[in-house]
Amino acid sequence: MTSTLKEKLADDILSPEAIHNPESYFARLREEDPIHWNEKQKMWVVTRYEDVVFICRQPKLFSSDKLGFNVTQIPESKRAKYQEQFPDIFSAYPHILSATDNPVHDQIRLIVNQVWTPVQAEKWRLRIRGLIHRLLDDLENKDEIDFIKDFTLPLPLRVILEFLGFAQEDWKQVKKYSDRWLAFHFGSGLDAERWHSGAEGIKGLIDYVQPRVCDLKSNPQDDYISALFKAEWKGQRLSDQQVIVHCATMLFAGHETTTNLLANGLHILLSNRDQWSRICADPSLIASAVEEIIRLGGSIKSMMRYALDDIEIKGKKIKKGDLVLLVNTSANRDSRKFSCPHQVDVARRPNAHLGFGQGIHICLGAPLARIEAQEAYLALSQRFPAMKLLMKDAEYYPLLRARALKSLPVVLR
Amino acid sequence: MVREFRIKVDHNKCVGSRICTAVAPTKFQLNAEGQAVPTTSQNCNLKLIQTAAEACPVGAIEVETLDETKRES
Repeated sequence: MTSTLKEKLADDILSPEAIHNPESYFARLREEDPIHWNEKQKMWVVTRYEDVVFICRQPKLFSSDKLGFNVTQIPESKRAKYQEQFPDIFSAYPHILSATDNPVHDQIRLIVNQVWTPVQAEKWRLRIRGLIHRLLDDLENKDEIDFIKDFTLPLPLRVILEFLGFAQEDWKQVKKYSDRWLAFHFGSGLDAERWHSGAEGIKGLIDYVQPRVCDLKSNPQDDYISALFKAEWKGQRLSDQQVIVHCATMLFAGHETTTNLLANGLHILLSNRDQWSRICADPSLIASAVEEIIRLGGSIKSMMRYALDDIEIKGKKIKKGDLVLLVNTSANRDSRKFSCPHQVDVARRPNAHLGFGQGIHICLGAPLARIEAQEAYLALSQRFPAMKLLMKDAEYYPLLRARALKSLPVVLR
Repeated sequence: MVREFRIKVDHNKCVGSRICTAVAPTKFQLNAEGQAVPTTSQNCNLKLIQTAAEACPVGAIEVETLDETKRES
């Protein structure tokens, strides 16, 4: 390949073409320069399955400490000022599972794992099924809907609010704060608006969950939050602040990703009519269909790490402090791992995709997201088998980390 | 009596979360790829292994108690 091609690729990561068709953009990197220094974004872009897995499973070499990374971007002379100005960010982030390294990560995760496992998540299946059918009942008399506005946006919010015991009417408030937090969490740099947005979102959600969490500590019920307070690992329990931050994070992280997954998945299924017909005819394919959807249309396009030391991988010298973008959506289409990787096959097995990440930071909410997706597609395929897309070209938000459709108009019958 | 179990870690599911090696460090270890492998199939603390299996975030661990038990020779 020529250096011109490399530079063109490097500059194009957020271009309309790369956003609209990331598969084609990343396929070229994956074949031609799988560990690629992107000069414009100032980060390594890793696109092959085996390299993404390797880095995810090296938490001592590649950090997920989000606050630590943000702080390194602040000139030393200004760090105290930032800490004073944004106390909510500085006090919350050291307790956020996805944003911490060990030993803190394991200390929290092993306690949370006492009360939150795939087996525990399964107990929510019938309630989620009920929520889905109630939402669909409301849509029953409509011919055309925007599947995102009418279904994939409200469903995960309602599920996570009900799961944590909050009122479903609060969803707009929760969504507002989550969006503010999102702008900080998935961004980088010293832009004041970004930091103010993050602080407002975090404070909003923490203030929202705090009264209920504190009440449940004093008056425990048979619920997830009370169970978190009781759970122990090697004699350690979560602090009040850890439980509060954990619940705020669940509200924040527990809906946006599932909204995008459900929408991307339906878009894939209805664009591949033969596969939609297969699940309509045989609901036992739903579980493998959801895994295939997560592989091809997962909501998280990439994950971020930064190097804690100098390391050489396949001849590329990654330096201490370098940012590394792990493109799971590309790894999921790597022909070295998946046969016919671009083909949608709702019966694909095995399907060791990286849609929920890998290693110690494997997505905590994955069991709930899987159930929501399985139940949603089961209900839709049984109630509205004739549903069709009402759009020619899908339009996505120009995001580096997430794959998010702007709308998904469909006709139900 | 030697009690035997069949412990299987499905490497198509195992994501290397290291939960099992934390919960039952004497019963599981990581291979070169960072995935879990059981270290024993006999006379182990079955409850501990079942706890690790249930704690696995991706349900990659299967534990089966074998019907036959055999005497130590």
